[in-house]
Amino acid sequence: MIHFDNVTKIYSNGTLALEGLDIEITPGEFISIVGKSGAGKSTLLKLITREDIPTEGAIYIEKVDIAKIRAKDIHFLRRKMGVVFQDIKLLPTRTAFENIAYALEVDGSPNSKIKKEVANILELVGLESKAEAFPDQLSGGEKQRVAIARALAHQPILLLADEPTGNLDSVNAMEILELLEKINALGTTVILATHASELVNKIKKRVIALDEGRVVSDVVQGKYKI
Amino acid sequence: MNSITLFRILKNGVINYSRNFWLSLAATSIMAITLFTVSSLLIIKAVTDISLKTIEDKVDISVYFKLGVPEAIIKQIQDQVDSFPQVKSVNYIPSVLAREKFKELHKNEPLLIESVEQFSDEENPFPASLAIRVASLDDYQNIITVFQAENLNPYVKKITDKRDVVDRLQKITDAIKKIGIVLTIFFSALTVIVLFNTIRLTIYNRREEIEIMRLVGASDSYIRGPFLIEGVFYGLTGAVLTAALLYPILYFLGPRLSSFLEIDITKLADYGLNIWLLFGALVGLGVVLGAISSLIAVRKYLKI
Ligand SMILES: Nc1ncnc2c1ncn2[C@@H]1O[C@H](COP(=O)(O)OP(=O)(O)OP(=O)(O)O)[C@@H](O)[C@H]1O
Ligand SMILES: [Mg+2]
Repeated sequence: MIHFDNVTKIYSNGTLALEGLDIEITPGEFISIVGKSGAGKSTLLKLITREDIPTEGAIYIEKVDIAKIRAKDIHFLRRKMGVVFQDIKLLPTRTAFENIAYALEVDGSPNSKIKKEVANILELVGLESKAEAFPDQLSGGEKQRVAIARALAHQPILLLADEPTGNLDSVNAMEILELLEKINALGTTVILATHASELVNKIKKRVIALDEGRVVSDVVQGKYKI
Repeated sequence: MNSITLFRILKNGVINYSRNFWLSLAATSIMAITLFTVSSLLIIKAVTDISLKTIEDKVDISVYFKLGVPEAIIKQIQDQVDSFPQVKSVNYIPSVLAREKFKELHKNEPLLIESVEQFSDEENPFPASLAIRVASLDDYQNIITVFQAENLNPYVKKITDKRDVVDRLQKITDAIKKIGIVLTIFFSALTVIVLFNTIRLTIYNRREEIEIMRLVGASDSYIRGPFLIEGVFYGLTGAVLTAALLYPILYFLGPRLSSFLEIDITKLADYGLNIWLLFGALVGLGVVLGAISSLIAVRKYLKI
């Protein structure tokens, strides 16, 4: 489904963020990307969303070199994935409900469907009562759950989650993790970038460890070792 | 693009405008100032044109005839002059009328009046004259030449030669017109640049929002649409604000200006400054400026 072919990313200021990555991700996988701060986890996810492009090498999603997709067609790629950003990225002038609905409105879904789905997903992340709240009226954990709800709302075939439990207590974090596992069980490919070792160790799925931009281990039923 | 998408773009435009209230207010105010400046300049230009025209209208050529030239001949000359295309009007002032005018002018000086009244109608020393108005100051000289020609010259006693005045007046009008055009262009350009930068700043403030929209799968046009709507709103509200400011001023100041400058302010209509037309122009200009500024500003952040 996703194929990294010798991918290197050097930022314009000269920082080498990723080096010579060869990764193959098959549909339905649950992959944890681990590594210490600055290892390149977020950079890897940003290359998949086409927020940025590799300096060398190429990334293929369903056999398409995504760097070659024209700017005006990128939204088709992004509608196939859901992304939980490390810095959350909610629209400040939209309520929780509207933030989630936005991801559904972009492809012209009918209002009735949007109302139903957003209500469902808000219940799933336990935020029914905060539907009309604006981001600056929400706690860090609540914002994060809105972001997760937005990433899931349009039922993507690929879910990218960058530190999705960073602002949550361990009970909430476990709940979110269970949610991700459930989504994965329904067929969605999940890529999780995280520091949280107890989460990764609980999942018992494939773990890719990064260090200074290089893959240092890639094991099918891995543990968090770094 | 289907109707639900169009509706959502409109809705998002309204949300953007209302929820970024202070930014919208700033952009709207600058829009109003821009439109106010441009329309004031246009009105000032029209008023100047009218005043200059009024002054030009007042400049006439007076041809005084020798005493004893029969009225029939003068009338004949009047008809002849009247048929020139450059001539706007020719007024015949018989000597009797000239005397009355003189008496009117000096009604507070009984000694003068008395001396004038000594003459009978036949002996009236006031010459009959033709007051000729030309359409354009440029034709002034041509008319004088006609009366200096051999066939008319014998009848003519005197032609008031206001060439100096006319010459100076023409120079002043030309200068005023040129300065007016330069000032209009300069200040219009200035306010348009300020407007463009204000809108750019309001959008710069929201560049992250644009990125987020892109990242959650919105197409370029779905993002651009609401910003376009916002720009149109700036234009509409700016035009309404300008009209609310400008029309009372015109209403109260107009008549006073009319009497002060001795011009007919209703003539503004001849210059396309009809109230509704002006409002239409304000709306049109505002909408176009707002939409173009928005589109140019938002384009920069659609790269991700
Ligand atoms: N836009 C950028 N410009 C320049 N350098 C960058 C940029 N973004 C990230 N970097 C650098 O690239 C390296 C990898 O950053 P990245 O954000 O991928 O790390 P990370 O593994 O996600 O870290 P964390 O766990 O703290 O989120 C770091 O050295 C970082 O400073
Ligand atoms: Mg990161």
